[in-house]
Amino acid sequence: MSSSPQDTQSEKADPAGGAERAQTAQSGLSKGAQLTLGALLVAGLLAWYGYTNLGEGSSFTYYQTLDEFAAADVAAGGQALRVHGYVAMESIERDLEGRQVRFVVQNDPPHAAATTSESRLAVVYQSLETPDLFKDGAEVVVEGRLQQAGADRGTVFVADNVMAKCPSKFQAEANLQAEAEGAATAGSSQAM
Amino acid sequence: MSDIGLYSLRFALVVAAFGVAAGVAAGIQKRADWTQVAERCVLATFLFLSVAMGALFYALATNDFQIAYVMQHSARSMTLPFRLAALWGGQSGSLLLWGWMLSVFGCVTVLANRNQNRGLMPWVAAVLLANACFFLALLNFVTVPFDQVPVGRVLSDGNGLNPLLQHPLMTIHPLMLYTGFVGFVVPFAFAFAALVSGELGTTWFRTTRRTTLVAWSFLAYGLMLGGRWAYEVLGWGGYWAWDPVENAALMPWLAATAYLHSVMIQEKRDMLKIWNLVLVGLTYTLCLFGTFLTRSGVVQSVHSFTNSGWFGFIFLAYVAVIAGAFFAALFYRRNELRSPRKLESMVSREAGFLLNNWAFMALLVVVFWGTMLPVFSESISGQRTTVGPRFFNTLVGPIGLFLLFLTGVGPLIAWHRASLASIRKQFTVPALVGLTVGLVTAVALWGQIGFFTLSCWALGAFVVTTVGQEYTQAIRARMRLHAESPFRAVATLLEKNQRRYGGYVVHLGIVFMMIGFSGAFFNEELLENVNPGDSVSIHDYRLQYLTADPIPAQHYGGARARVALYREDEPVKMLLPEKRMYWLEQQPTSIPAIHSTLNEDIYLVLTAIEADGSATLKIYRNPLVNWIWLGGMVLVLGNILILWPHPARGSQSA
Repeated sequence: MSSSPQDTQSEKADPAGGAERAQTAQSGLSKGAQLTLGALLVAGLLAWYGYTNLGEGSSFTYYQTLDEFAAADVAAGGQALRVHGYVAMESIERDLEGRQVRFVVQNDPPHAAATTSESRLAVVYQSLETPDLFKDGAEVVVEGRLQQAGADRGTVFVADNVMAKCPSKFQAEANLQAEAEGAATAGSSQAM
Repeated sequence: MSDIGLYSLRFALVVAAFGVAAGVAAGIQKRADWTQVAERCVLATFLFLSVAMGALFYALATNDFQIAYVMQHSARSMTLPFRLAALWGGQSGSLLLWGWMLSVFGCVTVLANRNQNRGLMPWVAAVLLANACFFLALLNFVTVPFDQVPVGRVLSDGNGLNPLLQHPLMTIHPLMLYTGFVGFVVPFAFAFAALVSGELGTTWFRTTRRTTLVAWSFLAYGLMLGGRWAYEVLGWGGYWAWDPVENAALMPWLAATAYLHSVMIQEKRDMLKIWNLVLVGLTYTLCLFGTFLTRSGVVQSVHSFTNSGWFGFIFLAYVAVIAGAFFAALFYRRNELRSPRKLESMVSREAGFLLNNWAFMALLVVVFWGTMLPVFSESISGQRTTVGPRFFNTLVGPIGLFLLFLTGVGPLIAWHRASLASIRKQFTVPALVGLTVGLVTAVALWGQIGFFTLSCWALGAFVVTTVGQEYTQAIRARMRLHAESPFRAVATLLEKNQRRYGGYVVHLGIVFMMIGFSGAFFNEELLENVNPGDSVSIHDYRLQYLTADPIPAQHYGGARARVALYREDEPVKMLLPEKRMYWLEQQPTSIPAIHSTLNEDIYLVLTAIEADGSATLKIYRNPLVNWIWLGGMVLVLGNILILWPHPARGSQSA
């Protein structure tokens, strides 16, 4: 649009514009102030809109490791949370009738040399739609709430979303030496 | 071979560092000979980096598993194209690609400016090479692509590339994205050079206009291909999850889009000079920041690379230094950049562009805040708070609609101050069309359609009509004044005013994409556990699960389900979703089957073959989703129209 003729013409016929400027100066409110006011108005509208539509608390969730979750002593029926951990070995049960998947999450990777945490969390995932990477030992983030399982059966984490990730494949070459040694000894560090 | 790569990286760093010094010296002393030295350093850096790229490609092609990078990201079982694409499958390789692309853009800039902008070029070369230096330092000392596996270990095969990335789209998506990211270094370097040298006129943005558009376009393609890849590969029925990695690429694009619009005000009206420089600085900073986000794992992301903390720290420090230097220079020149002109009326093209910029900045703030919230909230309260897609969709939706509205209004409204008569003349038809479409859909789909979807379609119709009206008015004028045929008139328009009329085509593409996004409102999904022979119905479709067969063994195995798709009991096609198992990587991957039409997609995922022989199927019906990719193609067409070289007008671009 560098050379549309009518624009260059109006560029020259600017006195009209100058008169306009004088006029606005008289009217008391500068264009800068008008712009600021407008921006504030728009920001305010958006904030109000966001507040009314997001206020239910369902869009903001805390993200915790399982240890942090355990330490926080969350009460059943509380707010939605995202908890990070690892799927405990051989804990996955697919319940086709009930259309849910039950598993246990632990804080440390199952194959970690030194396990420092005993935290475990029973999870009920309200769907059969588990991600591809979801399996024994997988790193997972479960999203949901802690709920009372039954009269005397303690609490269970009811998840409505499970995200799994594959640690070493997405990892950059963190420590070649360690990985190479691991591969040499275990021969299976390529798994996951 | 790896030694050749290693040494060329060394040489490249030395040459680039020397070039920075030469450029600065040339800039200060205004010496043409030193300027040439700096420029030749840019060319030499390109040569050395090309050799390094070639060496890594060669290592990947020849399965040289003694090189750690090849061992970690490639494998014999992968076909050659995927082995080569593994160059950007991991961290050091993709940093090498970054550096190499930077040098490509550097070369093009130097060659295009042999006979012009001699005052700016020493600084341009210095800025380009300073950025190259950082990536070269990383490649030489922190994350070296040519590192060998520990001595004494002989490896016959590698770990392979993540199966999710073994997809044709993933071989080009990073290239597109990086071309976009890196391309913005050119306007950034020119803006920086203008600030340092004090040549604050219009040269810096006029010279880089084409490069900026190229970078913007490729970033857009990168985003679209990423979405398409997610849709075809990740198997959750969607294309955009507001994942930090996606947001990282979206943010610079938002800033750049704002810049492309606001720079027109500076061209026409000599206003917003400081603001445009801010946007250029912001765009490039966000490009670096996006690379940092993807490469550092600072924000938890399901598909981000993770890394040790100090790589992230170095990278962030570099981003801070680059941005700090640029904005300090801008602050220093602020008084020379004040514009004598003021906005004359809120009802004018200028005001339209201003509103557009606010909207893009608002989008940027929303995306940035939502992406970084876990980091911010942890540093303030110790609790990581995260937001999900709902947060983004809720806030981005209305801003997007406002932008769609401006897309229709902006091009029709006059510069300076629009008169009531001209508004009536320009807007009567489009407004009527928009209102009609809105009313008709509201009546036809009463109770089934939300306010935002309705507004989106009405505004879409409004914008399409404005574009049509602009074209017809201009074509008629040419036919009358120059007695041209309609086709000849279109060709002349696109040649004489290519940014304007090409830009309209880009706008059309955006409208189509918005229509595609709005389709998500009608999405349906269904999860069913079925035995062979059972049927599942969704909308007016019926899916009958027949069998699951083993996939013929190759570097992956697994099961392929046969699901017959019927529409109103007419057979449509056989859907073959797969559940693959990549042996080497020990990673299961679902490959969805998609039946795609302009109306809707039926998207089928084989979630699991259960122990009892039944299959768990996830079925999505995604209306209008194809319009996104259609819009993408229109966008590409618009970009081609804008960038098509017309030699007669003389090229003034880098």
